[in-house]
Amino acid sequence: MHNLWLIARNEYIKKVTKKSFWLSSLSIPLLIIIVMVVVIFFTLKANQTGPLGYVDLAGLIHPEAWKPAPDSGSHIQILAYASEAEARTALENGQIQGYYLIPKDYLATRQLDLYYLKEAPGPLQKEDFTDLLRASLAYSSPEIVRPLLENGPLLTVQSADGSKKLSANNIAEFLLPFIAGAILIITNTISASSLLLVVAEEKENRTIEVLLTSLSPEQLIGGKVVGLMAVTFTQVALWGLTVVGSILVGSQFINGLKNLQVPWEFFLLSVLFFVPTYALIAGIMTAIGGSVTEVQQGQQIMGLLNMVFMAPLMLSTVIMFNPNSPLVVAMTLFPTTAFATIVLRWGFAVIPLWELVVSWLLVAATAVVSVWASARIFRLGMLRFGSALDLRTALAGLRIKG
Amino acid sequence: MRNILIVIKHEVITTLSSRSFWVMTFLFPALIVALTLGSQMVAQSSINERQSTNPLEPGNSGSKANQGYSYVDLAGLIKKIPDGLPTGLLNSYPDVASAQKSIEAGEIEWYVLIPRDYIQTRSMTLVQRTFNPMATTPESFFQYLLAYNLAGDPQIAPLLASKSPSTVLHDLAPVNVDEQGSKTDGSTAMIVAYATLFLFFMLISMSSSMMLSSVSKEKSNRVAEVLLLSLRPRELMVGKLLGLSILALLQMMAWVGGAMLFLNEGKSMLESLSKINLPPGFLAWAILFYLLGYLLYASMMGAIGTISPDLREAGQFTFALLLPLMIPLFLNPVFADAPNGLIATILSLIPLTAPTAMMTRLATASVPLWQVFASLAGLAAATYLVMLLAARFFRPETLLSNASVKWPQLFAELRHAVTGRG
Repeated sequence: MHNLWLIARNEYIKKVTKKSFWLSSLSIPLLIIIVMVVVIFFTLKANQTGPLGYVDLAGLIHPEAWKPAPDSGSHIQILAYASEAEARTALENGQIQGYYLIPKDYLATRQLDLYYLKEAPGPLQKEDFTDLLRASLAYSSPEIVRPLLENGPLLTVQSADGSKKLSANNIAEFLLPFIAGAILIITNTISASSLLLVVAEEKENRTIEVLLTSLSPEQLIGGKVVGLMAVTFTQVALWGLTVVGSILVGSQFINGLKNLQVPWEFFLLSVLFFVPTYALIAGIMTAIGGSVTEVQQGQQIMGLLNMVFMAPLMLSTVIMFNPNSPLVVAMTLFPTTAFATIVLRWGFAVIPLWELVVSWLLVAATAVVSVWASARIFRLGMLRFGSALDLRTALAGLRIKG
Repeated sequence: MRNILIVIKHEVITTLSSRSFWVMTFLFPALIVALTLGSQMVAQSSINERQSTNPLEPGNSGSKANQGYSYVDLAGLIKKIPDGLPTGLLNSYPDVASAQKSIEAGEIEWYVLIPRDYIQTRSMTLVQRTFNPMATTPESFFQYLLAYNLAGDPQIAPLLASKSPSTVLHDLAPVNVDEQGSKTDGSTAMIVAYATLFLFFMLISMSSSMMLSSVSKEKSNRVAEVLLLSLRPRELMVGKLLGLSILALLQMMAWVGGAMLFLNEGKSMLESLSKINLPPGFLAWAILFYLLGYLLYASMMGAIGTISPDLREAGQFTFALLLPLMIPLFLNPVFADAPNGLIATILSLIPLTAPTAMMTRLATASVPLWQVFASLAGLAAATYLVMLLAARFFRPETLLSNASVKWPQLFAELRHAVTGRG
């Protein structure tokens, strides 16, 4: 055990003291932040151009009815035109970016027309007009009920026992499963080549022979896997801190972030499943690395294997709409799909406790077996130096005693 | 010329006889399509089911749960029931306890709770026996029912119940003769933009990586030393680039052809697919942009392959090399929202981002023809220059060197290739 920790510590220190580790750890969140800022900037810019017009043939609009809340961001100017001809002239002269026509029989047909040149007004402009229209429709009602009619109810979906709730306010519960899935993809992709080539350096500089005189293959591979797992967890923790920091800074400027509730249960569940899942991935990748002779071959197998781990993300709509279907329950229990299925399913269903316990035990057991198997395959690979191991030989190697 | 032909033949035969090439060309995309299509079909059937349970929609009589619309109105707001609703559709409970009892007994699947302070808080709770927020929600029906009771005007209530009014869009701009195809609208644009960006990114990165691994492999197993006895380094590069371009084209035809076939055949299965309209000549543009994109990135990958001792060392540079190709992928909402906007136009004119950016614009919007030609010309010129530069990396001293390489050495080599001085 002491040897295993020595190897793990050495691997960890060697990796985290490299410049490339910090570069790759910090560049990904930085890149995502830059892209998000650019997208938000241009989306806002694109949405703030020019006034919008309307022609109200049904006589429904009351401009005084709509008073946007002071903290609801910027709004566009909405101009009334007496006739369609006037509105069209204004549109052609570039005074407005488009105009709505409310037909005389709107109450019966419930259909509006929106006229524009080339580019339709953006969603925020359309929303402003819709707000004006709704406020005008509710204007004749008593003042106390107007906000209810204009904005409609705020719906919370709740399980019968009250243990699970989802509303528009806790949007984090909706987004976090996808973020957790994305983290698994990124960590897989980034660490895959390190895992495939876990002992490549030692093989190249011939220290492997020296190491094996005082270590068993299980200690060497186990220690390497534990060390690399610690490196990945450090990286994920750094990303987590970046996300938390961004939210704290963002909440000073964005109202929606101020009410963000932290779903601690979800974090705990994700960490509980991420650790054995990553150990399973590490074991499988190391086993592949030990059985192939070319890195490229290993990377291709790894690409296909990644898909097995990522299948729940591609089937996310199935999980969202039918979270308790037999297929989803099977994916919850199957070790390679368990993590992604559970994080996605968590937001859309109450997962029975027995499923969580059985699933975790299966993932943990498979992870232990995969790391043990990778050590055996590595030993076999050392004995058959230079030649690739096929699946049958690798399986036969696992059955050899001692 | 004969040597180049031999290299081309060798590359084609070696790659075609590798199992992984066939797996990546056919099995991988087939798996993605099968998973995506299956998932989308389940989603669409669930959405259809949700829509068909709204009693306000013509032809529907109510909830599919055989329970009607159960509710507990503690605020006492629902006093009138709209005319024309089927009898027994509404099922009112006097208090939460009795509704809970029914839900626990399995008599009802859900009920809506309108709390006493609804007028102040606007909060309404949907209590479900089996928690699933994506399942049928009666939100719009209750919004209508409340609006009917609160607004007093039966004609206004349905308008207030719908969050966004039904709107017909009219584009008054005259049709420009140098623009082609029709614009993809609404949420479909998001799917098309992402699918096109992903498809071209995967294709170009995969095929250009074949060049890197081919060069690296021959360097690390020392075959390069033998080859250089009878070949000039540049013959090796040209042969590899052309040989792999044939395979890249084959891969592209399989992926894009499969995607287009899927689009045509899948229209009957998925409603969203029928809204996708690719412009005429899309495939021809796709081949041109893809081939030039492949040559551009494969040349750069080949150059990296010559200076790196093996694939592992080369790997540190590939992310940075492929980064420009990823930028449009990160910015995919921009392509869906404003395919002819400033960012999308600039990205489609920059040669390094053009292969993915221009193809995405062509798939989602009408692009002025001059922009397509300008982008293609820029890409062709950049490809030519990069190929000339990459050819300078193919020298005996780089191909035979086994020294480890880092960023400073890469920049030094680049400077040497540009200036011709060491």
